[in-house]
Amino acid sequence: MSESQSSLLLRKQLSELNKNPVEGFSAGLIDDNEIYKWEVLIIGPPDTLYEGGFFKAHLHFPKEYPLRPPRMKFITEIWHPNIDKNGDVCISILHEPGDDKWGYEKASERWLPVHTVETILISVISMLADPNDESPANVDAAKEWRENYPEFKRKVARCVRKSQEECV
Amino acid sequence: MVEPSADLWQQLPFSAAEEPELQDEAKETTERVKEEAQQGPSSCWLEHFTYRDYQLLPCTYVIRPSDMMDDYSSLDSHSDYQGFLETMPLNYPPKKYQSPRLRLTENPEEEELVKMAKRVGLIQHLPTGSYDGCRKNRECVICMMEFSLGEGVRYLPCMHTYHIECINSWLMRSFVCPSCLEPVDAALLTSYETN
Ligand SMILES: [Zn+2]
Ligand SMILES: [Zn+2]
Repeated sequence: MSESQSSLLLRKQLSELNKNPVEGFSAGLIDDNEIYKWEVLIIGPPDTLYEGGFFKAHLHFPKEYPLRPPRMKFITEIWHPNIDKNGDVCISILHEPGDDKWGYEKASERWLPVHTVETILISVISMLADPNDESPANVDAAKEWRENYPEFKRKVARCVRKSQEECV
Repeated sequence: MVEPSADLWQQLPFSAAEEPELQDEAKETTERVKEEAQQGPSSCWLEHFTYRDYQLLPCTYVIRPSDMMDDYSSLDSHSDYQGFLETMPLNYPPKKYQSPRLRLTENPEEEELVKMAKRVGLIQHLPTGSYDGCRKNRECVICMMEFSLGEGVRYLPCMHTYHIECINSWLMRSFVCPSCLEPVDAALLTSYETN
């Protein structure tokens, strides 16, 4: 995939998202001249601990997009088993594609070139609602989520409040 | 890409392992694969390989490219595709000409490159054609562009269709169909076995 093709594909998605915004998040570029770096604002999904929060995150696309996945990093502090303490999101659909490492049975969970900003964010939003504690990026959060749920809830509530203050 | 003629098949020693001078050539080929691979797999990579290279690299099975159909534009259903696969001479060349699994290296990095070269060979055997305006497959979901009439497309065994360049680059990374996740080599092998 040439650089012009990947930037064309991202421009197309940007204008599509501007025209037809998707519920649950908003998306744009960090810098208008840099198509590979996006900023998104995720609205904490209703009926989850994150409800009411506004979580800012950055997406960095490689020049080989869509053959390779972007990296996603939360800028707003967030407490979640699948987001490490630096904000890096660790979900299988953002894993580099490959045959051996993960096995075919998991192909559907790994990166595919059909993923767009929209489908990535839909996955991330569903991850917020439903953490996967099999391969946690934040081991402490995962442990708390399993063993000390009230404390987990309290930490998330603090992040939600903080995110609201930052957003004002 | 060198198209092999019928006699080339007779001339080519398929059993490189048995002929010492060929082992050197096989090593050189591996070196070249390595150099090319450092520049990253790309669709143009496919054209850099000659038929001889392909023969010298360890392949578990061999199919003669000239036996493949040239025009796949008439293929528009799964059963046609199956029919097409069945016409491929799987038992050609005769067993004694099939290249042995020649282990060129114990180095895992080189093993990976050899695997990639084999992958190139497999990709080359997936049929291509030119877009005929078929309404079912309007768009290449990798680059999200609509196909234009006459544009080069490649068909996977599941009948999902992509631009040749788009799907070649993807298949070098992962050997599954991006739309339906069907593993491409499993599908190819199944078709061979049922033959
Ligand atoms: Zn394409
Ligand atoms: Zn498919």
